[in-house]
Amino acid sequence: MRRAALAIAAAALALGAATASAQMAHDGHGMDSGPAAAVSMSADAYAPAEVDVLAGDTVRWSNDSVRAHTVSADDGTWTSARIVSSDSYSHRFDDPGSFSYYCKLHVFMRGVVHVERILLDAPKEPGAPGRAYALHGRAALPADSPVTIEADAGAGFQPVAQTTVGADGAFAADVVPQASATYRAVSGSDASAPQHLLVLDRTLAASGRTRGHRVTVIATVAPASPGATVVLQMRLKQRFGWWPVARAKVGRDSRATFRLRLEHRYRARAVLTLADGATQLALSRTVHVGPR
Amino acid sequence: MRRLATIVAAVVGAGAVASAAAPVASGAVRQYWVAAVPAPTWNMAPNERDAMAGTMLSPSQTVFPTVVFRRYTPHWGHPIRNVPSGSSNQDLIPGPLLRARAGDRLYVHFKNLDTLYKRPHSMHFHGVHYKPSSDGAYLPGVSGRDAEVMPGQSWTYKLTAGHDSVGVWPYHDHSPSMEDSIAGGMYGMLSILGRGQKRPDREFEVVFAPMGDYQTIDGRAFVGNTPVFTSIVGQTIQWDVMAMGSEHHTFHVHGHRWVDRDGRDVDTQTVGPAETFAIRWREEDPGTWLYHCHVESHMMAGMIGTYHVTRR
Repeated sequence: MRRAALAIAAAALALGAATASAQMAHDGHGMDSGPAAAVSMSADAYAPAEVDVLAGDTVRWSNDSVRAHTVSADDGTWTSARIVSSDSYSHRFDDPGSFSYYCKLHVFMRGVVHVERILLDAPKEPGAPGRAYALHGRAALPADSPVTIEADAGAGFQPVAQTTVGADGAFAADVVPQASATYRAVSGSDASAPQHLLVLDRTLAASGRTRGHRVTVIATVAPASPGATVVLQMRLKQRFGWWPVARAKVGRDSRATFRLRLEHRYRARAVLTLADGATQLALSRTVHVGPR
Repeated sequence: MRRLATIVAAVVGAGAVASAAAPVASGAVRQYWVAAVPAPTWNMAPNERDAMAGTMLSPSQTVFPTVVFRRYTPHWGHPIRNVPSGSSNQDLIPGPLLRARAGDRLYVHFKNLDTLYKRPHSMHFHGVHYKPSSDGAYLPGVSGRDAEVMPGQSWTYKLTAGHDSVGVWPYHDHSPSMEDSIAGGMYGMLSILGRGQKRPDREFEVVFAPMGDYQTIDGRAFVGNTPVFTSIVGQTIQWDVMAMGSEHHTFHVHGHRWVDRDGRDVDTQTVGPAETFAIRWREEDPGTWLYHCHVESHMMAGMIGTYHVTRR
């Protein structure tokens, strides 16, 4: 009887997880499958003025102003026609190097495209000391080419992780930072532009309140981290460990609140994660929630 | 422990007998609203472990962005679960379980809300009757909008469940994005009952498919992550089994047997790409059981789960 009730509770928890996932799916984290880099043209500037792309990538310039512009190489090897408002121009860069360009109609408008054989993506969120953090990148190199991730925390670059290039040109490697540092990816004689990973030591407190079958868990992040992701996990025997049952964004008050209906008492904890809802940055203590 | 489960219905599987019967159209009209939506952080192993091997997994290995079929309320009002709450089925992958009976008309309203990759998508259905405009299969210069529903656009697939449609059948993206979509979990099942056939108390969906470095069931890998199916002694349970990808799999449930298409008692049954079968029994054996693909390398790469039967 007890196990049947547990199954019902587990199903209810699964529903909570699904709801969180659906909300996440509609946040609209868009990723353009077209050009590798997009540059906007305002009335008097390219934004961003410098972009890093991989050899073979295409850059698209979109004119978001009412003035016409051009995108013209300093060395005269390539140029767009006149690009009117709302129109765009794309150019593919096959060879590594830095390529400066300007607008023939407004010569003070300048930009640079840096073309590399290996790129390391800029970390989008802070990491945590002593916790694994996945670095991602792309390479215009054959599949299975070895890639070394190097870190510089002030004493020069030192290797910290190894990986290989996938068939699609992507690679990923886990690093375990202790403090903020600069990273780069190296393969043979090619090295990516450096990227900085900020490491913050944050704490997460959790409190649980049970009234009948209704449970509220409040997680508080310090220092304040509005917009950060917090996942509520429960220890479920059927799931062989901690299982995510809901996900929430930290509010302006640096809190995330979870409300559940439970049939039984469970061990629960809050986890501060990257936006993937899985990479752990900080854990709360375990709280016991649900009817006794 | 009794070794043999009572067989209520043997194989309810698809295509056991070839038939050219014309579709019947005197049944109900069933409308489903489905969309292709981003699942930007799909996690193949939320517990981050292969519990049987005792190894931990990293989110960098198990989390990836993908696009999935999601069920909606009418006119795509708001998203709802692909399967009923409490069914113990996995949500999002596979897509909505589309249920009907022989003789029913199905209108599957599909909208492409892929803001992740901005790719065209479609739905292509096996086992039912339809005109070419509802085939959903891309053929350059031949197929129409049904096969290449662009982001923001929609299409209604008009299907009929014939007498020869009874069983479970796959559906999947068959647009120009088909290869990437199927690798990311854009597939689901139709479950069609005969007229007067009783619906099982529990209906479990099992889709074997490779995903990234793992072999998954319903887009999840390793025990605890794959669906934890549950039933109670005395219930009639049905397993809807399907394979996607390019490999064959062997579906095995511990402690139970059923009767296959050839009338043999079996406890393991092979399913190939886009093949399906449904099996039923009346549950009599309480306990925690394993279900898995018995291709050893697949099982070790994640194609295994647990099935819990409790006493009443």
